[in-house]
Amino acid sequence: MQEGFTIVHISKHGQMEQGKDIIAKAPDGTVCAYQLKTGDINLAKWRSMQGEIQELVELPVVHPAVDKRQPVQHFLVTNGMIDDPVRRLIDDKNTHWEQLGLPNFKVRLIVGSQLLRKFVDAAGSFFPEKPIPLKEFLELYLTDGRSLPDKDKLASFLEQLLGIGTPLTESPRELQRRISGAAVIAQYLISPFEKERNHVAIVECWIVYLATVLAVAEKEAVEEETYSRTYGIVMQRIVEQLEDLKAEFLSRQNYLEEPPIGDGGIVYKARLTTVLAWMCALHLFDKKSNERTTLDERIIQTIKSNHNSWLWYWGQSATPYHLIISLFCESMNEKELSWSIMLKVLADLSLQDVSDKSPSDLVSNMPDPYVQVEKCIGADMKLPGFERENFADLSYHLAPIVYFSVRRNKRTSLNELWRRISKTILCEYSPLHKWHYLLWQSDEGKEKTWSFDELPQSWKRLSELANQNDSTLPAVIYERPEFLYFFLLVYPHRLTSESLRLIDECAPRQAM
Amino acid sequence: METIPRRMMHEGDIVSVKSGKGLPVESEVKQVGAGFMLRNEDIIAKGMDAYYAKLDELTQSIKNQEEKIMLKAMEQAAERVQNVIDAKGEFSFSTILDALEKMTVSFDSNGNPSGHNIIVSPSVYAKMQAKLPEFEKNQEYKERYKEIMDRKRKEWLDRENSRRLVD
Repeated sequence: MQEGFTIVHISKHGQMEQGKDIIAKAPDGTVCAYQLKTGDINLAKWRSMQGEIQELVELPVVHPAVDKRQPVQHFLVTNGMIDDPVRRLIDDKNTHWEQLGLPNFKVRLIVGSQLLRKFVDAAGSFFPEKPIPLKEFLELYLTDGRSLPDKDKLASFLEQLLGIGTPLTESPRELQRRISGAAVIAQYLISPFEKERNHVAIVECWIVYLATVLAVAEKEAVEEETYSRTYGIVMQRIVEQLEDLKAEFLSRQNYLEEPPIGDGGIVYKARLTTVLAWMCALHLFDKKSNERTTLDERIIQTIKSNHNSWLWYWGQSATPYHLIISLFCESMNEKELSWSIMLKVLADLSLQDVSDKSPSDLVSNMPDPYVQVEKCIGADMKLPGFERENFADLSYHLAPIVYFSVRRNKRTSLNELWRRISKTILCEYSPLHKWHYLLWQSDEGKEKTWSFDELPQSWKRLSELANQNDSTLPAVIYERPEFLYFFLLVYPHRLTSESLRLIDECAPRQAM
Repeated sequence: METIPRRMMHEGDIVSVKSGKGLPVESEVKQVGAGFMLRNEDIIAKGMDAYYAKLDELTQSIKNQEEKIMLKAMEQAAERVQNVIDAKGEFSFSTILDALEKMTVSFDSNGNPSGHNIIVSPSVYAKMQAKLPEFEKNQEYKERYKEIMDRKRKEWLDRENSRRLVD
C-alpha cells in the first residue's frame, strides 16, 4: 500500500485460495498475485510447496474486480532466504514456461532482505509520528478477550492516534499513512478478541476504527481515495468476521458460553439478540452492496421460530438491534413479523401505565441509549454497582420509531398508543459539527428535548415530518448509508430520526 | 427541589427545550462547585473527621447554587411567556389563585390535581401558615378555588381526550 498498490483480495485466515494469498493492483494497473511463506526455503520445503506454486502461476485470478484475460505477475514472498538450488529450480521453471510460449507464467521472488528494506521505508507510514498513549494502549491491549471492548476508551485512543483534535497540517499522502498506521495499531488491540474468536467484539472494534477514520475524512474534507483503500480492507475483514459468526451460529445446537454458570436467562437473550442482529446487518449490508446476493433462509426461519423467547429489549441501546432484525424480516417479505418486533419496541419506548399507581401516572423505565447492555444486565440482576438511574421519562428513540411507523402507515397502532406517546418527552442530540456524529462522545452540540404536543396530532403533519430530509448527517454517511447497518449497532446513541430515515430510504424492502 | 427529576446529560454543551408552539429555549451548561480549606492542625488532630465535618457545608453550597440556577430558569421561563404576577412583596391567597388561573394543571384518575408545588421563601412560608385559618374560613376564596379547579379539570379532560391522531 505504501508503494501505491491497491489490495483487491486477501484470503481468509491464511487459507490460500488458488495458490494466492493476496491479489493486488500495481499503480499502473498490473495485477499481482502473492503467495506468502515464512522462513527459509530449502529443497525439501520447495518440493512440498511445488503444487501451490503451480496453482499460483497457472490458475487464473478469479475476482470480480479483475479481468481474467489481463496478464498477472506472480510473486513468491518469504521473510527468510531462498537456497541457491531452489533459485535455480525456479529459474528453470520460468524458462520452461517461456519455452511453452507463456511469458506471463513467471515466478518472481521477494525475500527477507528485500522485505526489510520495504518495511524500513514504510516505517514512517505505519507507525504513528507521535508516541502512542502507552497507558491507554496497554489497558486496551490487556483486556479480557471474552468481553466486549470498552468502546468509549477505544474511540478516545483512536481519536488521539488519528490526531482528530488538532488541525490537519499534513498532505493527503501523509494522512493516508496515518490512517494505515492506526489500522496496524488497531489490529494489535483486536488480538485479544481474535484469540477468543470473539467475532462481535472484533467487528465492534473495527467499526469504531472506521467511524473515527470517517470522522477525520469528514472534518478535513479529504478526497475519498485518501481512506478508501483502508476502508475497503477493513470492511472486508468485518464481513468475513460476520460470515464466521454466522457459520458458527448455524453449526451450534445451543449458545451457552463457557463456563455456563452465570449464563442463561437475560444474559443468553442479550447474546442472541446481539448475534441475530449482526447476522441480519450482514445480510442487509450484502444486499445493499450487491442486489444479487443469495438469501439464507435459515436465519429468517430461526427468527420466526424463536423471536418471542430470544429477543430482549434491555433498554434504548437495544433499539438498533431490534430495528435491524425487523428490517431484515421486512427484506425477506415477513412484514407481519417485522412489524410485531417494532410494535413491541414502540410500546416499550412510550411511557408506561403503572398498575400500582393511578392510570394517569405514566413512567418510563427504559435506560437511555448511552447505557450499555452489560450495565442493563447488571441492573436487572440487581448486582452491586449497577443501580438503575433515574431516566426522567425521556426517550431518545421514540421519535425515530414513530416516524418509522408512520412511513409504514401504522396509523391504527400509533393511535392506540398516542396518549402514552404524546406524554413522553423526546430527546435527540444534535452535534455542532457534523463530523462529531461519528465520534463516540461529542462535547459541542445541543441536546434537544420536545414532545408530540400538537393536540390532536395531524397525521398529515406527522407524515411530512417522517419523510423530511434533515441533512443533519455527515456527507460521508450519505455517500455510504449501508455503513449505518453496522455503525448503529455499535453506536446506539447515534440512532436519530434522520439516520433511520436514511436507512429506510436505502433498505432492501423485499426478497428478490 | 428533591422532587424534580434529575438525569445525566451525556453530550454537548447546550440544552434546548421546546414546549408548545413557541420557539425552543436554549441554555448553556453551567458549572456548580464548592471548595473548602482545612488547616494542617485540624487534619492532624481529627484525621478524616476534619474532612467529614466539611461535607455538609459543601453539599449545602452546591445545593444552593443548583437552586439559584433552577429558580432563575423558572423565572426567565415565566417572564418569556408573560406569566408573571407581581405580588409586590406581600403574600395573599388572592395572588395564589391568580397564579393558578395562569397555570396548566394536571389531574390523577381520582380527579385530584397532581404534580404541582409552590416554592416560597421561609418568610413567606411563615406568613402562609399564619394565614391558613383565614383562608379556610373565607367562603369567597373557597368558591373561587373550586371554580378554577373545575375549569382546569375540564381543560385537562379536553386535553387528554385530544391525545389522538386526526387527518
